Parts: sequence; C-alpha cells; structure tokens
Amino acid sequence: MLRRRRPPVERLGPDSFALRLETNEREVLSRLLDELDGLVASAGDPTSGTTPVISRLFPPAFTDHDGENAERDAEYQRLMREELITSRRAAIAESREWLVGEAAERLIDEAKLTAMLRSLNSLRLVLGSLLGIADDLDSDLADEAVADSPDHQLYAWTGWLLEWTVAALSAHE
Amino acid sequence: MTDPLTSGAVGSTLPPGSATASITEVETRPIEEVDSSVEEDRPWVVIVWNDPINLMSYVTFVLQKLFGYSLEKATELMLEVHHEGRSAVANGSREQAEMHVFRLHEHGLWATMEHDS
Repeated sequence: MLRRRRPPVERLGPDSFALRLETNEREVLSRLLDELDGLVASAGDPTSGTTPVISRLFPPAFTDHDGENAERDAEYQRLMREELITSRRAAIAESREWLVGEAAERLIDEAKLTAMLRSLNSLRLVLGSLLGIADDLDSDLADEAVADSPDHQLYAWTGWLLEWTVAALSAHE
Repeated sequence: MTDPLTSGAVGSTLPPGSATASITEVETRPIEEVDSSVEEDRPWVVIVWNDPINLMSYVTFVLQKLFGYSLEKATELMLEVHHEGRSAVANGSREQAEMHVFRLHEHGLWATMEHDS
C-alpha cells in the first residue's frame, strides 16, 4: 500500500471536507455498500428471518423482555423498523454518490460526510458480526494469522477510515 | 418544588376546553386503565450497552452529536459503557426515550430503554 501524504478525510472549512480515496479503495467501498444495502433492504421482509447480523443492525428497544415489554418492543419494531431501514438506505445512497468517477479527491459537506460515517459504522457492525467479534479481546486481533485474513483486513480498514472520519468531523474549523 | 396553593396563581392559563367543562362530565375510567397510564408516566431511562465493534471515538462523537454533551461528558459516559458495560445517557417520557433509542440505533449503537428505578 502506498504511503499517504495526506489524511483520507480532512476538514477544510466550516462545512467542507476532503475525501481522498484510491481507486481500489473506492471500488471496494462501493461493493461493500451495495452488499450492505441489499442486506438492510432484506430486513424489511418478515419472511427473511432473523440472523445475528440483522439483530445487530436492528436491536430490541427495551432492556427487559417480560410480557409487557415484549409487547412494547413488538410495537416499536412495527412502527420504527421501516423508518430505520429507510434512514440507513438513504445514508448508503448518499455515501455511494461520492465514490463514483475518477477523481481521487472529493469535496463534500458535513451532512454527506455524516451519512458516510453512519454507513461505515453499519459496515463494521456487519463485518464484526460475521467475524464473530464478541468481546474486546477479539477486536484486538492478537492472532496475526487471523488478523491477516481478507475479512479481518476489511474490518480493520473500515475502522481506520471511520476513525479518520470521526476525527475530521470533530476537528475545530 | 412547587406549592399547589400558590403555583400558577399569576399568569396561569386554563387547559384548552376547560372553560366550558363541567364537573358532572368528569370522565371515569376503569382502574386498570388508570394504573396503566400511571405506569407509562413513570420516567424512562435510555441505556447504551458495551459493544466490542463500535469504536470508542465513534461512541463519544455520537453522544456529543445526539445529546449536545461536551467532549468531557460524552467521554465520561463512553468510558462508563466501556468499563461498566452500560451507561444511562438520557431520560424522559416514553415517547422521548423511544426517539432517543431510535436515533442511537440509526447510528449503530446498542441502546435500550427501561423504567427509571
């Protein structure tokens, strides 16, 4: 991998950010976002069943699941899940807009970068769930052989990009 | 704390419709319904749970963005989540708590709500 001279995400002004990704990075991210979009869309189909990944993207809203709270949660899911799907898919669509084309550097505003932030985090939730990351030791990836696997590298890369995105959004103007 | 004898004496306004209300039209409700509404009126607290996938910096940022917390306050809550496994990040009515939970779910945090004990 080429050494970067400038950060992949950087605040340039009050509502202006630079997004700098290599061609192969944009291609990978586009593909991952396509897959994420399909996964999120499928969560609206009640016949698709529940998987650990779907459960992680759409967690219960109530801590306890006794009779009354189970009813409340069912009501919450009935009313809010579709809205959550729509919101996630809108963020994915906004993120993908900035990955097409040849330019290595794009200027985007805060709303668009926030959509990218949410989509990157959703990707990490899916990848982390698929990798079975269940505690903080897993996320340290102490085993080098495991850490070198393509899936773990994608997980680490999305984490790296997310960290830069948070830093850019948090940076003072 | 407010005194029921004096509070609202100056500048108070009647609830809409109360000017034409009659004490003979007081609505009566079954006891169970009253109890249920009292139960719903108890305050709710929003909990964020520890999660090995979400980045600490990301959780801190989301708490600042959604609740307007300072960096210090958001970091304190994030560290409580990390070390204690959970943290109460907001409270309010059921409707308010559901909206907070929804927005936290939108941002991928593991959040639930429960009655304030």
